[in-house]
Amino acid sequence: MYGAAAALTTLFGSVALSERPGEAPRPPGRGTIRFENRQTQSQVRFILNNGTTDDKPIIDSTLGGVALLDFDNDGYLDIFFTNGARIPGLVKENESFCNRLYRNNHDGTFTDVTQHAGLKGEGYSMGVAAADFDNDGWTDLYVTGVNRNVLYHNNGDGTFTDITERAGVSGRDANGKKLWSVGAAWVDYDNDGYLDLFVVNYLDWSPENSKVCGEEGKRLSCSPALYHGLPNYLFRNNHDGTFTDVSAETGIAGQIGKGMSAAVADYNDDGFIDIFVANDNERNFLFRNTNGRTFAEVGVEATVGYNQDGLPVSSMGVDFRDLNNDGRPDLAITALGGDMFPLFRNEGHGFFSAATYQSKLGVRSLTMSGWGIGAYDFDNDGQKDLFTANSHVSENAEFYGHHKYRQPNAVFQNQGDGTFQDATAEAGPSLRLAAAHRGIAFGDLNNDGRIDVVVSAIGSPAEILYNTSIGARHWILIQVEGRKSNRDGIGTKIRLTGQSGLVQFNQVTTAVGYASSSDKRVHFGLGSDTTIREIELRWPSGRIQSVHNVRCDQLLKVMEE
Amino acid sequence: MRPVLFSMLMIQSVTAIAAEDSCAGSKLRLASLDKALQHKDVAGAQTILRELEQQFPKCDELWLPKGRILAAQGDLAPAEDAFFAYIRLRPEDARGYYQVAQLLLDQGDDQRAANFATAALSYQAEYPEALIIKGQILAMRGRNAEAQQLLEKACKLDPDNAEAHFQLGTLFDSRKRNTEAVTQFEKAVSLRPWDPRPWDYLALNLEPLGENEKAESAYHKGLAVNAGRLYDSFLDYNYGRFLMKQNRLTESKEHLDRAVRLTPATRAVHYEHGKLNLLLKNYQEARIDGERALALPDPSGVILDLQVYYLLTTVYQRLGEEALARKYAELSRTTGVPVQAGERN
Repeated sequence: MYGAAAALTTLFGSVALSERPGEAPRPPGRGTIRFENRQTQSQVRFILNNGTTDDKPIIDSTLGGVALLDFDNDGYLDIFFTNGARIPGLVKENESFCNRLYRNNHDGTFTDVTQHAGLKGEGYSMGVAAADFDNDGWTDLYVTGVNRNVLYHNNGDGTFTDITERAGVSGRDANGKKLWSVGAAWVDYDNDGYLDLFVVNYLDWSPENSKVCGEEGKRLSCSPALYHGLPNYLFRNNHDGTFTDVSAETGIAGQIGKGMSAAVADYNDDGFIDIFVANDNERNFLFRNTNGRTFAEVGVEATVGYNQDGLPVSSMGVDFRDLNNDGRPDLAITALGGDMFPLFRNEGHGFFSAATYQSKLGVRSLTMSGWGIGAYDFDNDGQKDLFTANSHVSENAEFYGHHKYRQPNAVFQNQGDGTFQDATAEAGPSLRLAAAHRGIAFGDLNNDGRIDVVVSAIGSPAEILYNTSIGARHWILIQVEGRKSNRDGIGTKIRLTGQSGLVQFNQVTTAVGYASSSDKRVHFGLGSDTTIREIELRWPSGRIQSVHNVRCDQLLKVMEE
Repeated sequence: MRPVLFSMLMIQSVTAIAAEDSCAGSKLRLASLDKALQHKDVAGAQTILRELEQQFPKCDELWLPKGRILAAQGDLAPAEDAFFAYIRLRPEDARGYYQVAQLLLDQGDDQRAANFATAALSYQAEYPEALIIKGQILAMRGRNAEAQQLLEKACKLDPDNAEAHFQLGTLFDSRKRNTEAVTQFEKAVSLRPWDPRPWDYLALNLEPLGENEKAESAYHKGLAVNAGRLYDSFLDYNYGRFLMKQNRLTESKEHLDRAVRLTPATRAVHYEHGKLNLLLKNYQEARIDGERALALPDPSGVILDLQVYYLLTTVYQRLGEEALARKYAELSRTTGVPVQAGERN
């Protein structure tokens, strides 16, 4: 599939970044994954406020999207947090409910620039998707929510403008009813060079039909089974700052689910990007893209609709990436305690096989309730690991059983043989912190070649987890810029062949995990390889481009020819 | 309540016989007889009963073990007659009513069993065995809070009553209160280590707590005593599933193969066997398992139709049976699951 002749290499930037001089030579083999929470030093003071009430309405448990984006194009990732609102009014009545944008000061600290940026937000926010939808070189933001979805255009001067109504992406249906949206994904489904918008809708909930569950004084979050599901939205980009709702004509609206998040990848390698939707307690959806025109929902046929036991699980977050370096994107999903985190291995020919047991992820995750998830090579050994943000749904769960509401996050180290080992215990004290974790965004905050993690938590300070892995080795970050393809290059498939011959695969996407948006730059761990034999890019436009003999430990910028 | 019961029993009015004297000196042997029955040692119990009948021919007490032996042998009507004979002789002794209640419950007649348990409790309000039966029946009817109250009372009255702890454990198990279930099953196995059932339940409740080593140990201990009248035919099934989750497929196969032999009319064992064969890429065998599972009804809903359809979808796809794969994919898409609990705990 990657056998086409390489085109001429085009580099427009090659920037050597910190190589951590002075570090001792690393031992061969796999490193120890470690994280250090530098929230205090970072001056990020964000606390996710769900505005809950004694009745614990279902919306209070499902918020918390985070984005890592470089909104000011200074080469460093900034952080955006979504936030809740007062219930039942669903209004951000005070500062504690505001969404927040923190600018990276390049020295480990961040400055809250929310006010200046105009991003305080409205309504009860849930998730966020970041990308440059109008190809102007500045990353825009789409914020989802219960009663408001907002598209913010990045003005390039540190401010954003709400263009939701003009753009036609308010999330209201034909009757003017706003659907509760949780996740969203930017994706160029028709390969026309402009990013389209997929919006994941959850339940038909309103303050008026809100159910109450559990005993008085120790209410629980109600099951989604008590509410009707909703269709998702697909908005096609009209190239003029507006979008057209193509949900019906593409077949997206025909499927009613209880969607929490979406991840995108070309799972069948036909050149068109496909969309996976994690549904809560319902069959998951895999929307197979049919030549950029329509979608067929094939979750059951591809055997990713249900878990290994043939049952729906409380799917929360998802990442859609190649976990075993065979060139085929796999699916890693979080779910609630008792469900186990499903893992589906892409076998090719349109099939997946459930690998939850075989990967050893199942038994390890049995007691965890997961939200955000990401597949990244945290120890730079050439194998993608998994990180999950954990917490039970219900704040009062502990009154009723053995489930803990506040749970530590978890990291699973890829053993390179199809299995994962729970490496949380060795990952440092920051991963022992129990909290009501929700969204995660992944990216390299300090450009040191190690993937960092930002996690939101209800009622607790967000965690700014710097990757301090021991024995982490060489790496490369690749930032692509599309010309015929969308400018962010979302959907670009990258095959990297290291000096040692190790071949790895990844893709450009920001839709990662739960209601969150991660660094658009693509990271590869290189192990002991100091040079890369070849990097091959397959752009959404169909163009295939290669770069040869690339030095490790740098940010490589590649522009589409 | 009592007159109604008596009417139902059609018990003739009898004069209670002061039988204490007729049983004098039998107490120790009766205790041995009871122990033998607890261990399901029917032959041993019969031997002791014969001795007692010779030594104490007029002892009323002997009707109870006689009925229990008959029940253990499957002679249910004579067993019931024996218990009624005892009730006629000692109408105010709760034990006669309890034995009838237990007999009826074992036959699935929970309505009548509840009536007799109530009668027993009317004569002896703090009778642990009758409380256990009543608690079991309430649990079966979904009256969990009341059931829990009675079973906890039974445990309190008789802390060494293994059955009380076992039943309370199963109540917690059914409500996924695994930690509390484990506590009760641990107590039950400490009191009755020869009974494989609480070992099985203990393991099943340790699994969701992530206590895999302890769960495996419990499975091993259960399998070591899994023989005789207390044989737990699902122990191999549960242990095979456990091993499959651990990706120990060869070991899993040994136990799931045995489970299929032991309970061939159970959908769940064929389903799990099919899942295992799918993992082992034995697609043809998985197909046979799946089709067998499909043919077997599962009124208790352990394995839903949806699960079988989805298994068959996957298997047929792997075998290239496209039309069948499409058929079962459509069924998988349209078949629902029972409405789950309204809350998330």
